[in-house]
Amino acid sequence: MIRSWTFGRKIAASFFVMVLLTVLVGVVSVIALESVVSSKDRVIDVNSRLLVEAQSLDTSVWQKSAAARGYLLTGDQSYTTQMTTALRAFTTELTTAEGSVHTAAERQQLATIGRDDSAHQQALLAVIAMRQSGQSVSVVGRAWTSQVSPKSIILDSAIAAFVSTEQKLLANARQASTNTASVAVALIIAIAVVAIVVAVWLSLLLTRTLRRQIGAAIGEVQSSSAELQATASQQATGAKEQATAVSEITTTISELLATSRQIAESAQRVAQVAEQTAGAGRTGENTIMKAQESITDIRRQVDIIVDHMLELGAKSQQIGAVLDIVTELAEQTNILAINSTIEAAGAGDAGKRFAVVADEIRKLADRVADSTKEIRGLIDVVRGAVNTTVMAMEIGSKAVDSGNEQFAYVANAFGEIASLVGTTTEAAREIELSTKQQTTAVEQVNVAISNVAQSTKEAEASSSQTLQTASQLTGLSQDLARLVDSQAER
Amino acid sequence: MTSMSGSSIDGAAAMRHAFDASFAEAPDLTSDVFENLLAIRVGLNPYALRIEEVSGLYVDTLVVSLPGAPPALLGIAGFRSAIVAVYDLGVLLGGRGGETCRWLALAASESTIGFAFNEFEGLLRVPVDSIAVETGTHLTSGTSRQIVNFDAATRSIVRLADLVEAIKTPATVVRRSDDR
Repeated sequence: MIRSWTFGRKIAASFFVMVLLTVLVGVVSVIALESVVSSKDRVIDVNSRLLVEAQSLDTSVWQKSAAARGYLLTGDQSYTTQMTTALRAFTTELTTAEGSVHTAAERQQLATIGRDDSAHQQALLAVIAMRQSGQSVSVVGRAWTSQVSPKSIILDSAIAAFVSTEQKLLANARQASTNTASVAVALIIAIAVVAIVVAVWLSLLLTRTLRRQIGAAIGEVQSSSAELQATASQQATGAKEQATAVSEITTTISELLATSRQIAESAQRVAQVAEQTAGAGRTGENTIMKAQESITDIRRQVDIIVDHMLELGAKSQQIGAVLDIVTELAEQTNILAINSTIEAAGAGDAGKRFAVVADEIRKLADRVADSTKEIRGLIDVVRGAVNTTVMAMEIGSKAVDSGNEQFAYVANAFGEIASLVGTTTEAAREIELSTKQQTTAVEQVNVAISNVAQSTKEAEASSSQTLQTASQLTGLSQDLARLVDSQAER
Repeated sequence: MTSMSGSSIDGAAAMRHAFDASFAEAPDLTSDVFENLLAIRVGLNPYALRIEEVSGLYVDTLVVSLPGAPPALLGIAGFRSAIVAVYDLGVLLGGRGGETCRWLALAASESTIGFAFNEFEGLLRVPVDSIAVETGTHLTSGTSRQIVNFDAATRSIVRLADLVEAIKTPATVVRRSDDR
């Protein structure tokens, strides 16, 4: 249980024990001192005062005797007053002594002194009466010698016995007080020795406990401080790298901010261009619609042209039929002319003129035939052209239809383009707004990064401070280890 | 179209002018210098017929074939209440025949014989000196033929009288076929 106590608790307990011992020593000392003081006070207050009172009794007796002698010698009444005062003082002192004594012997001696003083007083008063009666000094002197002096000797002897008793009592009380003080000193010394032993034991116990536990703690502190030092070093290195990285990030954020602003401007231009494109798309759509209407008109005109061409082809065919008749007529005419020529040749000279006419007819027939051939060729060309034109028209019509469909597709595409351009415009606006928000965010990030950079610098400084503190902590732990254990090498 | 119309108008004017001029000029009486020939085409070969040997030229005449007739005899046709035997000129000239023969020339020497051919090209008025007589080893001994050079083309002149004679004697016709 005690092992689980803290250092403060152990130290407090030790101090509490030491305080208890100190209080015990103090109490014992106080008690001993009180005993010594009371014994000394008793010696001083009782025995010494009784001795003084005893000697005062002797003095009062002496003063009374001296005043009585003076009166007896001089007859001066003032001496009687002094004698009365001395007697009153003697009585008071005796009464006081009787209240202060404790032993029966003292009371006996005081009673003896009282009786002897009464006898002495009576003898003295008798002598004084003799002086007052006018007897001579010599008579009075002799009466003094015979009556008062023995009484004085007895009283002085009694007082001297009382003084001797009191001196003995005082010596005994002084010895007892001295013994009491010696006992108290011995007791105090013993208790002090016990306290010292306990204190030494406690100090050794505390020292060993503190050395063991504080040593372990110091070891842990040293290990922790070493780890803290390494960590602080790594943290300082990391803080430097972080500061460098934050600096790069700051640069990158600045570039990103510039890029975001450029993107915002580009998005704004894109939005403007998209709006212009939307307008152009709507114009194009209208143009496409008009072109589609024109193509429909062209399609209608092409149909009309095809009809006309087909009609032209039919007419050409009719012309060909007529031309066949003409050709037939020309051929028949030619044959007729040739036969006329043959007949004219058979007629001899008479037929020569007819032969000329026949020849001219034949020539005309030939020319008609040539013309019909030419017309035939032209008609064929026309029919071919008509056919080609019709085919081209059909192709063109199909192309127009295809073009119409394509225009429809284009119109739809323009519609979709207009819609998409609208969407693009909206998207560009959203991009512009987002980019502006992004720019604001990037600015905030830039500010935050600046704060982070400042914090990183502070962290770097703090890491350096922590490293320095860890180094100091390591030194302090070593110093503490040396303080705890002087043999400690660490 | 305008130029074509113009050329057609010019052609018509030229034709009218030539037609009028033919009556305005003096008659050409130099027929001895020239000879009229009928330019025909038998199969792919050009030939010429002397107009004196022809009594008439007809086209698309109805010819009625005769059963059992020789290959050269296409059939018979009616002309002015006369029946004419129509022969395939190509077969008579040694060809295979079988081609469509629209044209028919009646022989002047024998009015009952006509020769059919597939194409009539026109009347040729050629100088007499352009007609030459060809003799050669490839021809049958004792025979010759006439050719005419006109417009850078050479045509053999078919002598219808000889063919008439040959028809009358079929072996001779065969021989003339061999000549070719």
